[in-house]
Amino acid sequence: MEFHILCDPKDIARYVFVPGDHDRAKKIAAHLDNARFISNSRGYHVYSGTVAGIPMTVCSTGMGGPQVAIGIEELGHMGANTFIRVGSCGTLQDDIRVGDVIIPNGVYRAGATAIRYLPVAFPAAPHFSMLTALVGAARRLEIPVHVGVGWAGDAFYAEGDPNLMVKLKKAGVKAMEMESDTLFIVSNFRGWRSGAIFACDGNAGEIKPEWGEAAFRQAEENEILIAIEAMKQIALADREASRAAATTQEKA
Amino acid sequence: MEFHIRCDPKDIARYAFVPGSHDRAKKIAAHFDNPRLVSDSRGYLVYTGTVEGIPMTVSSTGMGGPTTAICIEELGHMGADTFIRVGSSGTLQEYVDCGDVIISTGTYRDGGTANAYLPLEFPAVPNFEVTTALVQAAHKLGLKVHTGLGSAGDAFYAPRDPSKRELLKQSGIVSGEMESDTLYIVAALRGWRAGALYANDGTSKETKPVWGEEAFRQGEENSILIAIEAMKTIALADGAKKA
Repeated sequence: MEFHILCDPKDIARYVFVPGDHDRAKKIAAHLDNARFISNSRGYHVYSGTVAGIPMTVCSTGMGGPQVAIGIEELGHMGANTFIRVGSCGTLQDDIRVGDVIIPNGVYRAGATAIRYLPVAFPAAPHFSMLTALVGAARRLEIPVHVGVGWAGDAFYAEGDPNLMVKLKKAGVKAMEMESDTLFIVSNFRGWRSGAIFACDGNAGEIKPEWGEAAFRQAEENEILIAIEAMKQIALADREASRAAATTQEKA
Repeated sequence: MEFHIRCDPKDIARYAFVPGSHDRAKKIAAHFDNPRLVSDSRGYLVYTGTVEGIPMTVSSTGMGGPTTAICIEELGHMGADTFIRVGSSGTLQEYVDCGDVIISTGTYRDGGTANAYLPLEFPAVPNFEVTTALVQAAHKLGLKVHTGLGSAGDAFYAPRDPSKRELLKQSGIVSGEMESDTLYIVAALRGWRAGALYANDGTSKETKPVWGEEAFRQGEENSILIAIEAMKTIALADGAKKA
């Protein structure tokens, strides 16, 4: 048994959604077929079910790098190797609004946990197959998304360096959140695949405004739909690849 | 007039290929319609021509961060905003052979120049639109490519740290070269689009083996074809006016 996610490894699927928020884990599970509650310890709310007959798991990570690293490491011990973070974020850009959906193609490593795995020079980037699956799923579902670089750090309430923020805005940083740096780096280190998608809950000048709540909740639902469609496509492509490999082996 | 690339800004197109090698700049220009030599100073060999009527430029950058940063900054001053590096690379991975083409999805920042632009924490990643165009161009041309992360550093002949090499290999780093870190970071800060692909000229054990030369040259030609097809697609999506 793992130290923190307490369950039978057989209950964990290869394909896992890792939202930060426990409530969002429940919302994602509501989209799975035959979803069952697996575990609830140390803030890791775990559900497993199926999508198009393919086993999938959802696990909340909680906030910040340390919990994300422990979460995906233990899920990995139990057989998971493909992760989509379904998160929320703020933004630095004036053209991004509350309720927009953002898919990161790289993340500024302001968090410290991932430095224990790989030097800060290592790019925190999603696996390219996950990135293209997410963007492809959004197109198929006709949900507009922004694709660009994000920022992930440890301290929600710490005073940021205003000069750096001006520079990062200029450099096109779209999303601000707290988990994807760790997710991407630990995944690369372990040879796993990961991607991320965020529902934006603020504007360039405002953090989580109350008036934006309804738009944010719609975006949250949209990102869940995109993430599930993307994971399904990844799983189907894996199945196709393993069938092709088996056929090649038979012939040989 | 710029300090190093000496030409009339009107001679620089919005769409620029930036190989390291001067000879490769010439080879890329040979694929243009009506290519003309625009400038040859400080190692920046610059040609401009058209591809299906769309103006395009190629400039060699030379090797390493400093000369790459100056190159794209000056091209940018003259109106370029979309860059594809058509480079060569070595590899850390056994499954990559001499002559294979690798499309970059992100770069380990082992070089120093980009630090003058954005902190090391900023991810050196290509523009998604450019990367997608490269992958789709390869698919359309029926050319097999690898996609993955690479490492870019400043010192070709400096002693290599075997444990770091092993760490990067284990973490999925495919290619090793010297320019894409700078290209991506400068482009990010300036709001430009950049991507990169490499013809691989080694194996995980050997640097530029003589026996691999012929395969590498085929890979180089393939990388040029992919880059030109991708740039054309990007330009058409931009609604580029034909010359």
